[in-house]
Amino acid sequence: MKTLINIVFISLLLISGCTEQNQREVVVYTSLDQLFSEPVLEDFQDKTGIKVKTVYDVEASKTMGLFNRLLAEKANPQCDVFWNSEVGRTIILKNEGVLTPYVSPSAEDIPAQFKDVDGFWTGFAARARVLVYNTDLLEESELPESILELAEPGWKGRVALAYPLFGTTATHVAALWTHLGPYKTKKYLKSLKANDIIIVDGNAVARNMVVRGRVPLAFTDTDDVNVAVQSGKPVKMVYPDSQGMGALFIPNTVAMIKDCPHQEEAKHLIDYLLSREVESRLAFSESAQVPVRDGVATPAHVPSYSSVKAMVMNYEEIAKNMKEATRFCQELFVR
Amino acid sequence: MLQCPRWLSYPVLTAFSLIVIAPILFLVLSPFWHEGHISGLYLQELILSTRQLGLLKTSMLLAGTATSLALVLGLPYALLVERTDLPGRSLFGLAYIIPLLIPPYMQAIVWDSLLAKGGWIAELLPFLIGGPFEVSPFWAAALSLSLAYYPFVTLLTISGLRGIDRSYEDAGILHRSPWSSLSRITVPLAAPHIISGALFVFIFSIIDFGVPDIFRLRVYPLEIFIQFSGLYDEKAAVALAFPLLLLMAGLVLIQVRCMKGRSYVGFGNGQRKNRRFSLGRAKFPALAFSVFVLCLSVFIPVLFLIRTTGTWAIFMDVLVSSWPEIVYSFAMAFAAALIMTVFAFFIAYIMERSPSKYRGVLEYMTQLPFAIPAILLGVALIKLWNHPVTAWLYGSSFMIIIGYVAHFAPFSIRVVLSSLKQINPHLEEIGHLAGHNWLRTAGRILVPLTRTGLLTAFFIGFILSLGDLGISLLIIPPGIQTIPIKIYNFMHYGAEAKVAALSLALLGMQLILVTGLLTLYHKTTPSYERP
Repeated sequence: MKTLINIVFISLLLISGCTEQNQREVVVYTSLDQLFSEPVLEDFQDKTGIKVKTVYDVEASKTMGLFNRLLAEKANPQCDVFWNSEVGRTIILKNEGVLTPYVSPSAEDIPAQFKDVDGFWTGFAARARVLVYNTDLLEESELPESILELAEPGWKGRVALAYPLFGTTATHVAALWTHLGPYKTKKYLKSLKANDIIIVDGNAVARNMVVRGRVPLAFTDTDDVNVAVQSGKPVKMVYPDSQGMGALFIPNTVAMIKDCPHQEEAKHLIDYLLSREVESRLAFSESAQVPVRDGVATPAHVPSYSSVKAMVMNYEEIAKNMKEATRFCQELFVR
Repeated sequence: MLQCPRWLSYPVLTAFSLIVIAPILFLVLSPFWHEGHISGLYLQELILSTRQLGLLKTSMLLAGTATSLALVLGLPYALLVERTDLPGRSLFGLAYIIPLLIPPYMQAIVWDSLLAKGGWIAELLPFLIGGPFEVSPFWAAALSLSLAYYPFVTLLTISGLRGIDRSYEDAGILHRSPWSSLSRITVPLAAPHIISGALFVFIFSIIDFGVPDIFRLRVYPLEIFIQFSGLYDEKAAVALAFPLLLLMAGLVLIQVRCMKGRSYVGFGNGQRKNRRFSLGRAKFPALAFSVFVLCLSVFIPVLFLIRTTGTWAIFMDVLVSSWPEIVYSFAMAFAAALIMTVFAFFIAYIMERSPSKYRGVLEYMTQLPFAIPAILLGVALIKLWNHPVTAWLYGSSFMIIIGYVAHFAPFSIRVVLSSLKQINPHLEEIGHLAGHNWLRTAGRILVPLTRTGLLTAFFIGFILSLGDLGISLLIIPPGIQTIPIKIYNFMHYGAEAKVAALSLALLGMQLILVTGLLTLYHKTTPSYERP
């Protein structure tokens, strides 16, 4: 028994993380999938010698675990850099006083709409909200031109949508709220509900329902579709509303944490993440992120941002409308 | 009646209060503190809307149905394995553990695939019944939850049956048939364990929204999660958890009332082999029932996982690439389970042997934490432990162990408490009269007599810690991952084969651990005691 106790305590001491005292390090919390973020962060570590300690989020927490952790740690921050896979919650963190401004020289050529005016956050490598469809169940000619058509009787019970309360789906609803106005958005959401839209647990689940043929069409993100396309599943995506309001693009955002323990290292990492090299790398990865600036190398299946009709948005406005939109969706869909 | 000496009970109670009770109290009181003042602002959250009441009703019905189904499956199974001459009982006695080692969401995914339109069972049922048949989301979720959690009932019932004094059953059988003795004497004597098992199933079923969500069934905990994650209002989320706390308080009250004035004490604890009844003609129906339970809860999910994994190469690839996370998760779960079991032993003893007025308070203090969702507890742990003074602890893996102990120690306490209820206090007094101090009496008498309960508590603490996601996600030190976090990451980008392979690898390793524990149990049990 004594030996067992000794083994347990020695193991624990080893595990408790006796790091080399003089090594420079940076702590990053990221909600971008580990599959895509880990290689980028490892490259940074190899190039700079700065050790990167990462905490990843998961879809099960609706990528809200780290957001809530950052809020809870506000009084004594442990994290240096927050790399968020979307923009809305980053703006909320700014408003809650969790972030500190840093204008990176790498962000000079990033269009202004993807940057905070005060430098609290910077956007890069965007995903778009798209429609995924099963090629065995739908012809291209049958596809809707606008997401607004999905409230029509022909699509009754044939469309899946992730909870419009979390993640990019919540951002999408808040964007509609901003673009169409509350009245039209509410009316549209009520019509979707009346049209028996199937609400599922996350964008990946919505995509899987289409992959398995349980519904012919669903709302999801470009990265979710691309992973399925790359693995040979019978699905394709369509950027909706190319003749109308356009598709919503949601950039990754990076921000420095106020009073973070490793400020210099954090700036190095932010500079690296906002480089053209990283945008290109994310475009070539399975997540197929769309670079927000022109002239970044991309594979053939990733369009340039300027070639797609994008919804013109002020992300601060979207963040402002998020709570109201979420409350409405909660009342409508959670029953 | 002997009591734990103060020099030991005070430090144990202080440590328990600091690790388990403090975060809960912090959470429960937080809605009443707003912008530096006492406030009733969040009390308005307690006025539930019709929609929220509907969700609460669904949750209670779902948890009640899942618990009833788990009792229907788990109780007879335990009796057959432990008290009859069922053929192959040693194999059945091990195999029922497997569902506990498969994450419940994996089981739900399996049953969703089988019961959904085009699924194997959905196609077969109308053919068997001779008409259209569709399993509703409610029943699919209840079935899935009961199949995932019935082993708690079986495990604890078996633990209880092993502590029963055989002379009671011997006396009963002189006047009544074996079946009457089983139902009127054996089962009531194992009641504390059976109730604890049922309570565990109820708790896990009512607190979880992941499994009902897979079947697109909306339940009350989703409201708490939306408030926390969708509207980032942690205090309102805690206020919304109050109805669950009240429900838990009601359950504790019912439990205490049901067990009041009854004795479960045995006079010859574990001295003789337990009685096994002959099944006679019932052997084949009993065998068919046991095989049916295992088919639903073990064979179907495991076959599904093997089929999804695909090739051996995928399995090995995932195993090798996830090895650091597997070792880390096992080490953390092992350390946490060990600490929880030691805690559970002392706290349960203090509860059982303390005057009834204190016992009541302790009953509530150790059971109310059940109603707190993991993610809220994670936030409380951050706020309590993330300070410059405790930075050395917060940034290390010790924080993960503290988190697991804070969340799961109440479960271990219930298990050990059930076992202690079967121990005759006079045995300790005899030890004391023989000149032993309390520690020696506990080590020589109590620990050996409760070893089945202690091993069960360790096992439950271990598997719950190993499968945790909510706490780990919020307090994991940077640069480290646990297996559930990795599995969920795989799940997101549709790597179903990797998810299945990792689940199978975990299942295999946990089975090795269970076999090791059973071997330890048999080695530490003299042969004349072994059932």
